[in-house]
Amino acid sequence: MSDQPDIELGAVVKAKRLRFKAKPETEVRVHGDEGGSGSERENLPETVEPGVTYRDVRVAWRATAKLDPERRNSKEGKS
Amino acid sequence: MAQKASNSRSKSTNSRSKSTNSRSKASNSRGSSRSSSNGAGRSASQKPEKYRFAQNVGGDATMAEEEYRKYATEGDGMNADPDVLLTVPVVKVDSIHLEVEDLDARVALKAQVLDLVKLRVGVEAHLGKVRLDIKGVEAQALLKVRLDHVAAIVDRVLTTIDRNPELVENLSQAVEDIGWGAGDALDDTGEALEHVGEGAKGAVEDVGKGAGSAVSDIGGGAGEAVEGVGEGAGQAVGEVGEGAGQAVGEVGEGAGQALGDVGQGAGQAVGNLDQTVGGLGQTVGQVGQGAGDAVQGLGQGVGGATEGLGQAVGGVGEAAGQLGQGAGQAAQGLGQGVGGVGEAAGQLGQAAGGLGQAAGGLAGGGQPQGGGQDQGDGQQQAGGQDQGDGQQQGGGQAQGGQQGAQGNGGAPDATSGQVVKVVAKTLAHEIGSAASDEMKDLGSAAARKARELGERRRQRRAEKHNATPAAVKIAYEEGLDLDDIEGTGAEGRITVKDVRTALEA
Repeated sequence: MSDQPDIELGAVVKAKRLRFKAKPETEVRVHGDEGGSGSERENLPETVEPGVTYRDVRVAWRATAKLDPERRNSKEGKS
Repeated sequence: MAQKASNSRSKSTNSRSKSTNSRSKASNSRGSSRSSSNGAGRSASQKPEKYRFAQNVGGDATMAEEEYRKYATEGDGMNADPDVLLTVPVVKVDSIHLEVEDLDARVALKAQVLDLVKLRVGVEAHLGKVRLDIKGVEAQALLKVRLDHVAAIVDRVLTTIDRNPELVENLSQAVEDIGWGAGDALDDTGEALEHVGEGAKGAVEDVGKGAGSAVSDIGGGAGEAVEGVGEGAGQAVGEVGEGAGQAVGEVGEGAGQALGDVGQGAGQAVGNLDQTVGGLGQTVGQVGQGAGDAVQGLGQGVGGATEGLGQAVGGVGEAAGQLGQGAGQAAQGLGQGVGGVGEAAGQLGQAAGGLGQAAGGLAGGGQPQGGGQDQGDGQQQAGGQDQGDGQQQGGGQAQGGQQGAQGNGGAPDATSGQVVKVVAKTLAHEIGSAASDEMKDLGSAAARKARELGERRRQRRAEKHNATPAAVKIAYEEGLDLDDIEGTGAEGRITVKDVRTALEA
């Protein structure tokens, strides 16, 4: 059985200039047995500041969710 | 097994986005990455530089292409490719002004086998509040969905059911229990409804009984009431009968008295009948005299209009006057009996007929009905003979009429010529009068018109010379020229005083 996620959502954004007018409020939730989300950033800090212009930004964001049949089997066996 | 390969839902409230001078490449959704990247079309990396917007990824391939290569080369070969691949190869926007508030985006995979297994796997992103400006954007997106795990889980569930069919039996038993419970509930409901029906039936019966009793009571009361009414009606009818009898008796008495009175009155009336007939004779006599006077007056009037005919009609009038006398005598003779009155009246009618003929002849222009013309060309002596006849027989008019009839053809031309003269004279007189009246009216109208014209002329002169109309009139009458008179009125208006002053000067 592959370890690859069942759901995988990715996006890559590249911008010459980026400026937030307010502090962004974001939240990512993953439904499944395993998974998570993360990003690779270039010229952009983990926590952005409003009013600051970021240049030549690149962000690769990825979120995954995965079912684990083996763990489910073990749960069923335990119960 | 119900399976939903992908579920994408977004929720946004109060979100605004603004982009200027934006260009985007078309998105590409493919069920299989193999079919997409190995198709006949060129890949993004194979396109010329000006079309290759996705230069944000190192190497000679875009992110999607790299991802695909990775998927194609990784794994155990059985599960290398995703079952669902959604790619947005590249989106390039020069400038984006983005304001987002409460944006939910979710991608999830759901699978369910009856009520035994429910699977849900996915990613949900929530953007509470984002406001940003971004320029020179290149973006790519990629979605992959694999169903291996879901399929494995479902397969295991089915295998378990296959190996343990009692699970399904238990499941069906549970459903059956639910059915039985529902059936019992329905039975109970039916019983409850049955009880309700019985209760309703009892209530209706009670109502029916009560209604029946009430109707019975009402019937009894009505019967008693009808009996009372019958008795009262009988008494009333009896009383009415008594009253009617008395009334009829009284009516009989009154009628008897009335008949008695009528009899007396009739007797008296019959007793007075002779007197009445005598008075009738007098009345007829007076009528005869009156008729004679009237006809005589007519004869005089007509005689005044025509000389010859006047004499003849005067004779007729005398004859008619004598007719009245003769009728009076006849009435007196008939005072002993009504039949004589009838005869006299008949003779009077004949006399009136003769008179009518005579008058008709007069109106017809001297036709031969002239009463006395046959006896001397309308001489008065002819009337004398008629008068003598009337005196002797009391109905001489008839003879006069007969004699008049015998005189047909006597000198009609002379009589008609006189009538024509009279008529012409009368017409000329009337026409002359009418013409005179008309000329009088015309003269009055002409005089009135002349006065109005004079007034207007004086007003125009007064306005022209700034003088009062009275001053203009006096000056005109005295032959003065208004231009030589100096006005002393308002705004130099010439007044009567100014004219008189000029006359004195």
